[in-house]
Amino acid sequence: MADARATAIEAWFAERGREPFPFQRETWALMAEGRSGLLHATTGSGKTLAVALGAWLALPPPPLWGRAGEGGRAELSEKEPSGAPTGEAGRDPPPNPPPQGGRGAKSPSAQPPLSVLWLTPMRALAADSEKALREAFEGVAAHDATGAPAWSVGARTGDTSAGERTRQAKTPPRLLVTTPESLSLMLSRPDARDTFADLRLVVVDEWHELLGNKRGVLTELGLARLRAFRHDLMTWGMSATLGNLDDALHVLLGPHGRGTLVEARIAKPLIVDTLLPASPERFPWAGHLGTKMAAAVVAEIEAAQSTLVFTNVRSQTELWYQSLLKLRPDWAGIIALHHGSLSRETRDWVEQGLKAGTLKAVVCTSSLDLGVDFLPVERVLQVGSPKGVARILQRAGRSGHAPGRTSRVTIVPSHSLELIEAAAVKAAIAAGRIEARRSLVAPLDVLAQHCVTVALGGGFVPAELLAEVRATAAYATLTEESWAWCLDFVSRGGPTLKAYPGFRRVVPGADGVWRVLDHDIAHRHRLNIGAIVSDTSVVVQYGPAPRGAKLGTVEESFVARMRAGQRFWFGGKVLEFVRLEAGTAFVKPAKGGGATPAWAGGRMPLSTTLADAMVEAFARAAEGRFDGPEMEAARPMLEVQAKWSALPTPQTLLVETLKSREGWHLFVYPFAGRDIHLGLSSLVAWRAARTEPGTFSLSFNDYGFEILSGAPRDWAAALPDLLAPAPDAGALTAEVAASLNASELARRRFRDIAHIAGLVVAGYPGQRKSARMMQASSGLFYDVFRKFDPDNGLLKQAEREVLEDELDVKRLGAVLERMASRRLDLRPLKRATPLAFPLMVARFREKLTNETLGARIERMVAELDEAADA
Amino acid sequence: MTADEALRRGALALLPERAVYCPPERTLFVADLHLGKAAAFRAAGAPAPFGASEETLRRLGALCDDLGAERLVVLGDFAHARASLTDGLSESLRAWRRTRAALDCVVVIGNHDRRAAPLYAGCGFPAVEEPSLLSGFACRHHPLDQDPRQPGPIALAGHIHPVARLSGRGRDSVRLPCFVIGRRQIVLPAFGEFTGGALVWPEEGERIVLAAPGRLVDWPRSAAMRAPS
Repeated sequence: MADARATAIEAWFAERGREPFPFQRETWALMAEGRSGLLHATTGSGKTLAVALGAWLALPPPPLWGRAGEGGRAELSEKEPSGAPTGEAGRDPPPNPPPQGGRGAKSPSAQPPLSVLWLTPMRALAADSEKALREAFEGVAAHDATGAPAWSVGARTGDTSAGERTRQAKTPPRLLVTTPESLSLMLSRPDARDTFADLRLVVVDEWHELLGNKRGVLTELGLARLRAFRHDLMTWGMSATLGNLDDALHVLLGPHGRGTLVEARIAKPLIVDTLLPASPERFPWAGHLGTKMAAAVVAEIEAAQSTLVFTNVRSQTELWYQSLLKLRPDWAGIIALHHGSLSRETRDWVEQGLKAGTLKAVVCTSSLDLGVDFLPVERVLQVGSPKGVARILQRAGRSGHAPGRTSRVTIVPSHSLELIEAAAVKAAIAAGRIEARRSLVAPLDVLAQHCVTVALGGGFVPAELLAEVRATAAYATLTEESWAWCLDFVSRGGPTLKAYPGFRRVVPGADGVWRVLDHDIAHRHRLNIGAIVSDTSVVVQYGPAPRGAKLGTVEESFVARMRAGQRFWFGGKVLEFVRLEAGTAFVKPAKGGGATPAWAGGRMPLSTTLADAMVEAFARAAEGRFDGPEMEAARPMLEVQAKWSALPTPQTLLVETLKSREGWHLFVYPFAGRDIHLGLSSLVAWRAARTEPGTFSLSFNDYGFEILSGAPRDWAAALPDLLAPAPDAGALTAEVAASLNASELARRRFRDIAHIAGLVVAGYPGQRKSARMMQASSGLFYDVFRKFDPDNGLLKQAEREVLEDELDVKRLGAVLERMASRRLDLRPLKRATPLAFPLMVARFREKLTNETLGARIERMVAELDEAADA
Repeated sequence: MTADEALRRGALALLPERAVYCPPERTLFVADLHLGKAAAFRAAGAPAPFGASEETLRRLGALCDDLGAERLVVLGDFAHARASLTDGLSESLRAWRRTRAALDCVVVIGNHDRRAAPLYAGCGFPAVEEPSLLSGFACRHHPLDQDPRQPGPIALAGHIHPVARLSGRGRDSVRLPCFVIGRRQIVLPAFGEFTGGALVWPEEGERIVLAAPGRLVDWPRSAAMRAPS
């Protein structure tokens, strides 16, 4: 049996002129033994075949399903359930197995149940995975001497129609491709246990994308649930390169799981280079956009058959698309743009064009980071900061996306400092230094959501669910106290002492099982499942009369500022805003130029791995060594910085002060990454406000931070106290926590928490008006909680998440120590330096204040009067 | 008479407490209380804390008492939803009325009041449809799209929850509830505690007055010019 299938695989590979890679054989052998594991392989290396065919080899073939002890694989077959389920999604298996008639008998009752669940992080990838898997199973089945039919493959995501879902419930596919959110949804169905009763294997594709965020935690909880249904469930993950693959395996399998890390050692040639500005003098160190590089980018696109141009945020794709088209109007129709806010139809069209090779170039965001096989893509350009080593490797892998072909990524710096990042990323790759990703620790919002999900999916007994939840890496150390809070939250809305009467989401039954009884609450919960929180967005559609195509979405805050007749760029088109009506922004085509929408989110910090590599590059420059073309190109900028101020070095801490029309600026450059600088700037501003009340505007990037005061401040005199290390970790945490109350950080973090915990319900198109009444912004909730229920657990979580995840107090303390050990190099400035300028012009800023609202208004009004008198 | 003339002559006064007072008629106008909003959320399975409605009613009572108002007009969205009118809130409203028996109260029905309005009278707050001529003003919930050009009573409205941004040196800025004053219409800020706000910019012929704690601030033209074009 197994031999026949192994032969079939060899034959199928031979037919295509290939031979299985050693890592594929290794995976197949492990899976045949029923073992779990993590496969480390880049996209396009054959990882899908490794796991899919491993499953095909390890699991019994369809017509013989239910027969025990076939082909010397007695051990595995013994674990097979003895009864075949009926057609009804495995509901109530009959006491005796139905008669097996060999391969002729393919009556519906002999249908094998759902055996493999294939999780993919992106909806858009599901269809591609489905197609690739179907092809693989059909390919090997054609060579199978036993004549067993190919496995049935289905997909279930938010895009799957209701009809298709019903069909799947009646006749489940052997393998189902789905997303973490859709898995959660399936777990919320009353028949969840039956649906997954015969699941043998769960595969998590692109695990590195999920690890380290709340979707990853949602996945961990889903996996724990599936393992509770079936203890012998096999788990396989697939991950791109990470600095901590062993941790990734551990998190995937949970603290009690055992598994093997399989390395796909395929030599894949990789080129990382930089598109250098033609003349360094004319290259603007202050440019925000870097579209001055557009001509050079056009030349690169021209020279290649097909190019992906990655940018870091959605608004940049719009700007770059415009710039390219301005230089090459003849490219209209053969270049396109792709980002997450465009309509599904538009994105599908672009993806098809890439696959077919009909598009010359696509300007995109991380929306095209993953999966989808674009074989014709020859070149990848990265506009702006590469941000991380793993990220640049991933993007490089989008070109030459097949075993044996060369991957090449070219960094297009948008300002001179990014030349140094490019040099740093090359150095880090050469040294094999790649970022690690870790599981989040016990986020209560995701747990609360999961509790409601499980309460819907058949209910739970608290002690059993606690044990199950603790079998995940994220909640392994969940305290009794947090668990009790979570149960209180879903059943009473708050801690016991402040229970909210009239509130009942999950209701403990007399039989000890906790369930959701209210139909509306069930409905609302299912709509809200997931850990991705998007801004309130409005649909962009041609109209209002006649109504035309939907183009995508923009954030409500952008549209809210629009007036009829105003123009804006969207999806590469100029549109004229007509009016906003029930969550839809009606537009009509327009000519000319317009504003570019800004979408929040997706702003990634520079990884610490890369930040460290950058400091080293600066250090070499400070010694007069300019290694490589990038550092040579950055030399004029570095010399300006040295002349007007100084270069940062490992032995000194560079600090600059400046008085401008805006106020009194302080610039500090610890080079510790954006998130740490956010924490540091809050802390330093808080210390300044403590000696003399004030209001500060904070700006930060990956290199340093700025604190701006509208009222006079002698920064130089205060510096030693402001930058002093804290006496101990407790004191530091207390100080940072106090600074949080003066800023809006926790309030902003509360947005995601409120949504995931089910406090804020996402709007959806066509909802009833009464449903819209149930919406309030998370900010409003935050304020109301702060005022009327300050001990609420979700508020505490918001604070904790900011302290631990966003600001990382532990690292912050270490960075303060390191700063203190360096010599303070204080430079009063006459004008902003290359390092200071990007901080000064940054639009996204934090605020910290300990003045009363009245005092601030007083000052602003006084300034206005002053301006009016002048 | 235009709205500005009414304000200048003292026929109307804007209050920093997010209300409008008409001294000659001793009438207080407020909009968008959204009482019982948290209760409506709780009924829908979202845990929202207690206290907002009580605080709103306390402030409203204090304002009526301090001014010696004889009439209170609520310009719509008195309660948030039908489920908001819990036994607790109904009793609070009746108690509020008992201590102010002489006060004449009227609620103009707003979009959120549709289903709850029939219960208001039982709590001592009779409801009327918009527009209603009360104390000489055209009382509405939904503002008129077009500022009325013909002479007639000045319109008072709510619904929008207008807020505007005041900014100063050092990139400081605050969002404050505001009044939008047109030629013959004034839109009031939301009075309730648990209410959000929508950022507004003045249209042609409109001006904005911010309701800051303890004071009113004329929103400067220069701020209008900073608004995105």
